[in-house]
Parts: sequence; structure tokens; C-alpha cells
Amino acid sequence: MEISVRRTGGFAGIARTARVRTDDLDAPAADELRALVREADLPAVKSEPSGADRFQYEIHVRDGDREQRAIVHDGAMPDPVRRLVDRVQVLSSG
Amino acid sequence: MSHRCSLHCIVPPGMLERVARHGDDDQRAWALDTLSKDHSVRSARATNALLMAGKPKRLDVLGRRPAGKAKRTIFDMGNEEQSTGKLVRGEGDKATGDAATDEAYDGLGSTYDFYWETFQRDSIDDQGLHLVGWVHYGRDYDNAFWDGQRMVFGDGDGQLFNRFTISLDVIGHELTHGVTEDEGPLDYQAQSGALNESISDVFGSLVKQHALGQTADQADWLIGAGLLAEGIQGKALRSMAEPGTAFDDPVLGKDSQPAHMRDYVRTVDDNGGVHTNSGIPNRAFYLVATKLGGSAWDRAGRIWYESLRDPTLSRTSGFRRFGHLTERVAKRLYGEGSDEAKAVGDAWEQVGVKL
Repeated sequence: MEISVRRTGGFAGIARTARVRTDDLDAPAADELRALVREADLPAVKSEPSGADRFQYEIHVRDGDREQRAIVHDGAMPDPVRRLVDRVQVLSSG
Repeated sequence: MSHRCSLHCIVPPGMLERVARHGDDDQRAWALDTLSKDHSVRSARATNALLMAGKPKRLDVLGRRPAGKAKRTIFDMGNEEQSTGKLVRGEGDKATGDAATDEAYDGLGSTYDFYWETFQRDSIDDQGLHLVGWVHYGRDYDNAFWDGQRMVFGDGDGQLFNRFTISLDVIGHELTHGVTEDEGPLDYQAQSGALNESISDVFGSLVKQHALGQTADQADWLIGAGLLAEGIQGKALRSMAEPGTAFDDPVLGKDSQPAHMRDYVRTVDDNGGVHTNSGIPNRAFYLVATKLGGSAWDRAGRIWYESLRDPTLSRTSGFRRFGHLTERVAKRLYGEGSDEAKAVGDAWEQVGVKL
């Protein structure tokens, strides 16, 4: 499974992409990430911009030939999606 | 949206207001705090009305408005995102010595003064709304934003960005989002979103020019000068005079703003490129202001402000609709064949917006 989180917008309007592959993680970390993806339930996510100059995140999950995609906004993001975004960003930078 | 409505969805409408008005101190505090979590200007206005309840109306004995005065409150978020923050500077308090706190306080004051002295607008809602700033939001947080009710400033990561209170135009930009939400609003998506962004850049820049006493030809027309960390190749985040030329850096990338409609960027990023395509109306404003000369807020700023307030501006208005309005307002204020009306028409044509 590969997960990418593309952050765009913000006052600066500059894009940043974080990417992580479960193959590159140890088994517990990979399982945790799969669980976060399940809990985030991306196909059901609805998110509209809230306020102005906030970050937008485009989340893309590829698992074999299955794909999920969602666009979410800071200030209007369900907590499970927030946890997934945070986790991918930490793993990607670490 | 779950973030936004939390308690507000559970508590019946009007109840919080009643508790805030008639409850004991603890109940009042709870109700005001809960109201403050609803992120909208309308709710901010309701909260403001409650804070002002029982106080004399802001009119003098002849029924005139007294001179405008900002009411500012700065909260230190302690580098957290989920925090109630600590009140560190209220209106009239002396400087704290913390740069972000004092810059936010002073910047909100300069922005208030600009709107009052130039347009006799009494704060974001023209009804004396309290201005609330959150500083030290998040850790190494590379952003400043308007959350629907308050201006929020990160410290920057120090590698790419300095603290976001460092540029006065950034503070003016954020507060102007509140003005646009109150007057427009303009949907924060695609062309109406880019127009919304441009209006914040226009008035953000004018706030700075007003504070520095600069004429149009003396102004730098930059957004976020001083914001890029040392070593980053660039002079600011955006250039209204020459969109697309503000920075070009190996890490940050290159400024991608277009200066003309032929280069309009279609994308799903950033709500449809709202911080990118804003370059087009930004340049139109710059062209009008420099053509007319003098203080940019006097005529160019007045035309843009009256256009933003025009009731025919809709949530989904784009560049062309707004361009039409600016031309109509210029003719109304200065005459059919005036230099002002001609400058406005020429500027939109130069950026490829056909009126």
C-alpha cells in the first residue's frame, strides 16, 4: 500500500507531498497505517474549505489496483483523517 | 464540518446567548467560550454583541459615531494547535516584549486604523468587532490564516519561513478575509476564491503603504516581504507588480503566479489555485494604482472597496464580474470619461480580462 498526502494552499500557496509505502515499514507500523486508512474511510469524506488561507490535503491511497482519494481541508477534517495525515507526514519526514 | 459545529449542534439556538446574558459568571464564561468555537463572522458578531451588552451605544450626543478605535486581544497558543490559549495582551496593555504578540497587536491596530481612516469602516463588520489574534499557533507552523472568526499566526519553521506576524501586509491580508466574508462573501474556490485572495492582497498591501505613508510609486507591491527565511532565494511570497517573480528557490520552488488570463492555472490544488490565479487581479490593481499615482488607497483603493461592497457582487463572481463592477464604480465616483474610469478599463484589458 502506498499513501501520499499532498498539502497545498495556506497563505504561501506552496505544495508539499509526503509519501509512505507499507513495504518500507516494519510489520506493526504497516498494520497501524492500514488501520488508520480503514478508520479514515476516505470515500465517505466530505470537506469544504473553512475560513481562508488554510491548508488543503489531497490524500491518495493505492493498494494493488485499488485506489482511494479524498480532498480535505484544515478546520473541516474528521479526526480519523487528521490522524492519518499526521501519521503519513511524520513517517515521510522520519 | 464536525470540527465546526461540535456543541453548537447540540445546544438549541438562542440558548447560549441567553446563558451568556443571564447566567452566573461560570455559566457566562462557558457560553461565551462555546460561542467562540463556532467559526463564523455571524457568530463572532453575536459574541461581540454579548460582550458589549449593557454598554452605551457608540454614538455621541449628536448621534454621530465617535472616532474609531480598535479593540484587540492577543492569545498565545503555546505552540499547540488544540488549545484555548493564554490571553497575553488586551487593548491598551503595554508591549509584552514577545515579537509575535506585539507585532500582531500593532498590526491589527494599523489595519483597523487603515479601514477607519480611509473608509470610516469600524472593524471587520463595521460594527466594532473585537479583533482577536492567536500567535505561536502550532509547532514550526508555516502558515497564517483566517479561521472565520480570528487571525491565526504560526511561528514558521525558521528554515523556509520566519514568523508570520513579521509582515504587516500579512496581518492586513488576514483581517481583510473577515471584511470580504462580511461584505461578500466570495466562495473560496476557483475564480471567486482567487478574487477573494486578491482582495486580501490588495488591502494587505494598502495597509502597509498607509502605515508607511507611501505613494503608489514608492510602494514595493510585495506580499510577505521579510517572511522568507535567510538563505531562501526570493524577496517575498508574491509580487503584485510582477506576478511570478517573487521567489525562485531550489527548496521552495518558483513563484507560479500568472500575470495574464492566458496563463490562468487550472488545478485541483489550493481550492483551484486561489493563491496562484490571484496574480491576475493583483496586477490589475497595481496597474490602476500606479497609473493614477499618489496614495493608492485614495482612488484605486476606494474603487476596489466600493466594488467589494456592491450588492450585485455574488458568491461566485469571478474576475470579469468584479472588473465590470470596478469600472462602473469608477464611472459613478469620478465620471464617465474620467482618468480613473479609463485607468480601470485599461488595467483589466492589460491582464486579459475582457469587460
